[in-house]
Amino acid sequence: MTRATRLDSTALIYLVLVAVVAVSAVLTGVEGRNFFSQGNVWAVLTAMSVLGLIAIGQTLVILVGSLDLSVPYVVSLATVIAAGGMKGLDGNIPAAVVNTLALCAVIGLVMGLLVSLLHVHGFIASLGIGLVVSGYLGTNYQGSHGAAAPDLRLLGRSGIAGWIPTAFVILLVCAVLVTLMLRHTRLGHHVYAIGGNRDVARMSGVRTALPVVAAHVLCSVLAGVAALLLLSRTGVGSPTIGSQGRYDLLSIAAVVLGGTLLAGGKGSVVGTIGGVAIFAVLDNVMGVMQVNPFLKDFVRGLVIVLAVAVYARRSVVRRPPRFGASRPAVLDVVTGPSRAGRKGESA
Amino acid sequence: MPDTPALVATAMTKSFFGNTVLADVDLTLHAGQVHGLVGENGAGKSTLMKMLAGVHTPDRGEIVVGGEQVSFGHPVQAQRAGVSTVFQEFNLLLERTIAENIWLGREPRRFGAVGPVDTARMRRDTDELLAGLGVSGLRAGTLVRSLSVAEQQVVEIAKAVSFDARVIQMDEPTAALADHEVELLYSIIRRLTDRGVAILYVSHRLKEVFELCETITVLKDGRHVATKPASELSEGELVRLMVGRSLTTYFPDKPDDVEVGDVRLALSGVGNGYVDDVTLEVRAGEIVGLAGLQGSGRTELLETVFGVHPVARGSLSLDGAPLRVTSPRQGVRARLAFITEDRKAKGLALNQSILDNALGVVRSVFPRRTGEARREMPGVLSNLDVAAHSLGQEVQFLSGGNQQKVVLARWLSIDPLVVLMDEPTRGIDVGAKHRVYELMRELTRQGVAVLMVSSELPEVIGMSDRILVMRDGTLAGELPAGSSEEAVLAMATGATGVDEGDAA
Repeated sequence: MTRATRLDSTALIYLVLVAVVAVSAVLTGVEGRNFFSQGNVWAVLTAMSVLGLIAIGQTLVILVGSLDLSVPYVVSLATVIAAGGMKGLDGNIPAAVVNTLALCAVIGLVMGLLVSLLHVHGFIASLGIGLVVSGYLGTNYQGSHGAAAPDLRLLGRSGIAGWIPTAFVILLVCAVLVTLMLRHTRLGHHVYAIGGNRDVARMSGVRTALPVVAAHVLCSVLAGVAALLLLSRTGVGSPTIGSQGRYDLLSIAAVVLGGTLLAGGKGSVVGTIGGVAIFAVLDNVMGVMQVNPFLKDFVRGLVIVLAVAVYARRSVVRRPPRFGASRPAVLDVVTGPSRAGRKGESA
Repeated sequence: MPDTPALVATAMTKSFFGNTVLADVDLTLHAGQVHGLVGENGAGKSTLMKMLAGVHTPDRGEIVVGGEQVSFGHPVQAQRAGVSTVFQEFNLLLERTIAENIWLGREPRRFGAVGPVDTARMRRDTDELLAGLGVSGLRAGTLVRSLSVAEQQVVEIAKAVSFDARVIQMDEPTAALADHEVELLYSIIRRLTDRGVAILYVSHRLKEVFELCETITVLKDGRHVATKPASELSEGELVRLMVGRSLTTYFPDKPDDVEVGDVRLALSGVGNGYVDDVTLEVRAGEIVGLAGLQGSGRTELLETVFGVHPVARGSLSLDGAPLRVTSPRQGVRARLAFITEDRKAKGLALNQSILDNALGVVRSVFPRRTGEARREMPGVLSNLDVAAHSLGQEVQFLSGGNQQKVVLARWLSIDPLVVLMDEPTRGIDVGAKHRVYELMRELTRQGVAVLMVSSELPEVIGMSDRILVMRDGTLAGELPAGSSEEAVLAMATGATGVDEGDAA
């Protein structure tokens, strides 16, 4: 291949992740602790799982050219509904989980229909739905509500060999499933197509409503799953847990950091997971170093802006310089005349 | 001919908002033949194509494909019936691969209707398609973003072919191609006709129409004027049929009262990453044509003069004084005007009004002159024959020719010393072209220096006082006005031993 084989953004993000981990290990070591200790790895992976699930959903929504700002309120609502449904009893788990996820799916469905049929931009549609949900939570729930069932709490503490929490395994499974969906189903291909150019997709006979709705439904359901994982750790439903976690902006930031175009049509779940990991590692090391909260946010903000600046630089379409750099290959015709030996061609 | 025609369209009629744009037009396409469709912009070519493509539904008229009557409500229905269209504006997803673009909306699946997408088959079929078109060097898995315009067009054609098309319509397929890339297109078209595909070829470039087409249909003002074998027509006759104007008046004559003055713009050994060692002069009242293949550095040279790319070596001067521009803004301040190649992306704010677009440059660079420019602008625009119902109309609703006139008005407002023109007549109708040429002459009368890049050789030859030819980023040489197309092309390609043939 003579075409410029530049590092793709997914590879880049994982290189950055390795660098961040290395620096974090050193900084943690300076504090007299071990970054790779069992407890710390567990903590980092746990921190990744909730934001990770939400960010996977956000990736889908952004890929299809929309946006979901309602995730923090959906998460809060889901913890309250699930905890209220379980009332601390194992026997209530199936019904509570099904109800919670179904409610999330309905919320996603409404947003998807607003975006695809009424052509409301996802930013506004999800902002509106988020406000509605947040208003409902604010008037109906004060303080914590309900209780997680013991089995769910057990799940929050369980893991593989004491290193990998079950929550992280759930994240990986979801990431793999969504990646397979994106790469190997028509739905996935069409998600990219609609995000890339809705008109092109429509002119090619793609039904543009379905992938948009599907992305929003999956995003809300994944937010619901994330809420269940949160509930397994906190034990009670909280009407403010989502907004405290700032999952709307953090998930969008992780998606963008992972190399997905904010305008849609390009990106991957693998990249998003890398973005989430970078945030989790940064948070962890800043926690160990007892960095003050302002500086934490400062670093997060800096990382996002730098990342986007780097991507923007890379994605500028440039004609390759002729002098002092290699040129791209010239298209050849098998049967065509050779370029140099071409003769006058007017008929 | 004994066999049934590939496509017969009869009495095609369409009106928009009570405005009839196409009336009772008949068209018959035969398998294995290239059929040219010509006419000025607004003649109804696009409307006819779009009806055959299923984008517009005809008000009246019927379409018969391969003996069966059809009606299309959606482009996909037309494609399934065997009528594919390669539009002038490509319908490709830049961030997806060639294969994903070609099979979009009908990705092959394993295990029946709900199975996963068969990516291996997609790639295999794509490679087969491309090989069938005689194209090497394109891979099914390559991102469309990394392809050149010509390569993207190949993908569009491959996509059209992938529907087992019996009829392929091509709208101005060479508009964005350089001369040597046109060869590739020709060879693809020949392969398609060998397979029995009927081609409807819409183009402004009459030379191509004559080289490719067996039959030519002329439309004018939405009506069918003539359908004749190409062999019975000459370029002059064809132009007369299109516009009622003969070819000799096509380029306005060089006026006698224009004195070529002192050197306005001079470049001495100018070089950077795109061009190298360019030395040239443009005098006041002179039109210098810049010819060369696409990618030979013509656009980049203009951009370098205008301050888009930094000058690494050499020097520029304007009216004898050193000229240092490191940004377009400084270029404008030095009273350079730059009419860009891509007017939709770089020349105009499409959803702003005519007036706002025309005042765009003055407003941002010489804000104190805005009032004056605003008073003069209606006169300037009407002098350029901009056809619009008001100055408040958004430019996106104007025809290409009128858009280009707005671009010109925008640059006239700074009272330029040097006008850099990159493909000034690309994609605009014959009438608007003529107005642009006249304007160039008017500018020279006012002592403006014009440096014009064009891929249309007749235009370069017909308009320029001198012709500079670029090759691989450097100046390959200079030719006098009225040189033959062969001479220009030979210099541009670096071909040797070309016979001095007579120009077409």
